[in-house]
Amino acid sequence: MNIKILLFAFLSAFTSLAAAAEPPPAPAPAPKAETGQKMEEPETLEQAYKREFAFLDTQRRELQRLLQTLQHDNQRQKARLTNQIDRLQRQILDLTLEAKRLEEAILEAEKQQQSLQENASLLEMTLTQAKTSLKDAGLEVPALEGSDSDKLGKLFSLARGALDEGSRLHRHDGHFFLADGRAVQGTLIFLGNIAAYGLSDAGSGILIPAGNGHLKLIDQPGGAETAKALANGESPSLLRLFLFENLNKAVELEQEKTWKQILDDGGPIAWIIAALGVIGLVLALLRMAILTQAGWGGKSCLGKVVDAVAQGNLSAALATVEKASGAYPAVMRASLTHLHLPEDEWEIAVSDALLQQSVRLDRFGSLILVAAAVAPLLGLLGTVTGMIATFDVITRFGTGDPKLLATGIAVALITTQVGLIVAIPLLLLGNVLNGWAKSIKDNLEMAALELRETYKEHDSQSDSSGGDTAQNAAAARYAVSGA
Amino acid sequence: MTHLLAYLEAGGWVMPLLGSTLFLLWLIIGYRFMLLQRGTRTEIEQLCRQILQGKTPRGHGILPCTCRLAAEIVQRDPSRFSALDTLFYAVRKRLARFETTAKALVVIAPLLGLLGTVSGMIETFDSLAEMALFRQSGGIAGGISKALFTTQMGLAVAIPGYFLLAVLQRRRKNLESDLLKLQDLLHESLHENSHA
Repeated sequence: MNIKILLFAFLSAFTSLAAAAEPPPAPAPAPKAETGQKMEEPETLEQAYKREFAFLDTQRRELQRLLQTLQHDNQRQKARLTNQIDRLQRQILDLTLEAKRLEEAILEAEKQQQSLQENASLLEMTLTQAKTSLKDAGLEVPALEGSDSDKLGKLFSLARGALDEGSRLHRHDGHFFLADGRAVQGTLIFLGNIAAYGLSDAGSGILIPAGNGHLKLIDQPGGAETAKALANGESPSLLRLFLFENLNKAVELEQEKTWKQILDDGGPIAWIIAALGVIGLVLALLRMAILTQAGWGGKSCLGKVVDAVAQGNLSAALATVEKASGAYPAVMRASLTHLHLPEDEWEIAVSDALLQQSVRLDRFGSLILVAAAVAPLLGLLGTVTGMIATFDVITRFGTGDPKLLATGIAVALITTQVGLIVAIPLLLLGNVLNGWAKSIKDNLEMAALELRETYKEHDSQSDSSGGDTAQNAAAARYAVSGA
Repeated sequence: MTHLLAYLEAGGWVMPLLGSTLFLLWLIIGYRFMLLQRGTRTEIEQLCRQILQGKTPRGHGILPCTCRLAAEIVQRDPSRFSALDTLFYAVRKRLARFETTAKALVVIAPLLGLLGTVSGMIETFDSLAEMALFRQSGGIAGGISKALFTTQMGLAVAIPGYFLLAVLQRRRKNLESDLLKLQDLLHESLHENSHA
């Protein structure tokens, strides 16, 4: 619109200029009002301008009004839309909350369903188990109807009946085989479901299952008497019977494993460990014997010798020592024979004697502890071997049957167990014996020292009359035996 | 009391052995704590002077007892060093009483626990092989509980014992060094006196 007006103004200006120069070849497309007023140009131009201006001003106002209404409309629309968006967002929030609540409800329901299923399968298992148990007891279970509690009630009543039946004597006519294999007619007496007796003219006594529901007589002393007594309704004080689980199966008693079987289960390594344990025990006993022998009578001998030395009677002391045997006399002899020498030489001689004795006293000492240390290691070796066997089985047969794995694992655990059983007592014994040997060695040293003390005491007494021998010896011995 | 009995029963046949090990170990630890008492706070140099003057400290404990005996010997004959040596030697020997046994017991306790563990595991695998998973007694749970109880007990015996034995050993070493110092000091002073 504005452009048209401008173009018009421009054109009118151009035509007026062209009219001054030369007449136009073709009349310009201009409104008639203007071409008519071309004579008074300055006035008309101003007027035209004014008119134009007024026209344009109204146009501007018009346009501004239009703009205002448009803006107003816009704002109204915007407010409406924001309201709508808010409303929709609120709706979305409500819906998501609802969805969450529903999901939780679904989870809860699933859990409930699962537990119900588990319960149902457990019940199913119980029912099947009950049926098989009752079948073993010789009762056919009819198809169960009704609710679960009804079924259970029926089963329980059946089981009660079976138990009652199993704890009663009942008798009926039938046939059984004699010991020589002939079949005879007679009376069968059943003691519940665990033992049976047969009575017939050809023979009576205890019956054992012979497979296929048949029964066979066995010759057992007192069997016939028991059978007759039961048939007459008496209750004999001694009831001889052969127990069976049902008519096809005797009772299998679980046997306690002997140590030999346990070692066999553990394989060769368990035997090796056991042998090591026996050797260690023998060594420990030998060591005990050596130590006992070494310490035997040492204290009393020492007392005699000390008394003799205190009286200055060295020859008597030596004679006492020569007679006795063991570790004490040997050390005391070394001490006595070197008493007249200076102290350092005496010490050398006595420590020589002590060294000789300690070789004997320490015999097997370290060997026992080595055995105690090796036994658990061997046990570990057995463990690893057993585990290797187990994994071999697993690679070959999978892990479906635990019985297959049990042998390898048994080897693994039994060797460890045997190793520990061997190691623990040997450790204790070895340490205690070492302590014992050490105390014997200490006592030997003390004995040698005591002899020298007594001797010096005696010497100083003979030199100067002073002191109290007996008291002194007592003090020395007090120190030896421990304050 | 019933709790204790139940606890002992839960561990099977290893439990009594462990219990006796525990009892012995604590007996020895108690004895050694009684034994390894210094008995006096007096300095070693002062003790030596007291011995030479014949004024011995009173009381029980290793040092006072040793001082009294040493004072007796010194009073009687100051030139006899060997008697003093004998006395100190005897006392030092006494300090190490039952130490090896206690150490052996501490080593054995966890081994016993392990033995119980293995026995329990054997029981567990036996019941696996028999497929008797839920027997009234024993079974899988019984075996495993046995295994864990014994291990727990073994460790409970061994760990405090180990620490206390370490404490006792340090005490013994301190006392031994004290005694050696006293012996040397006595020797020196007696030598000086004899030369003077």
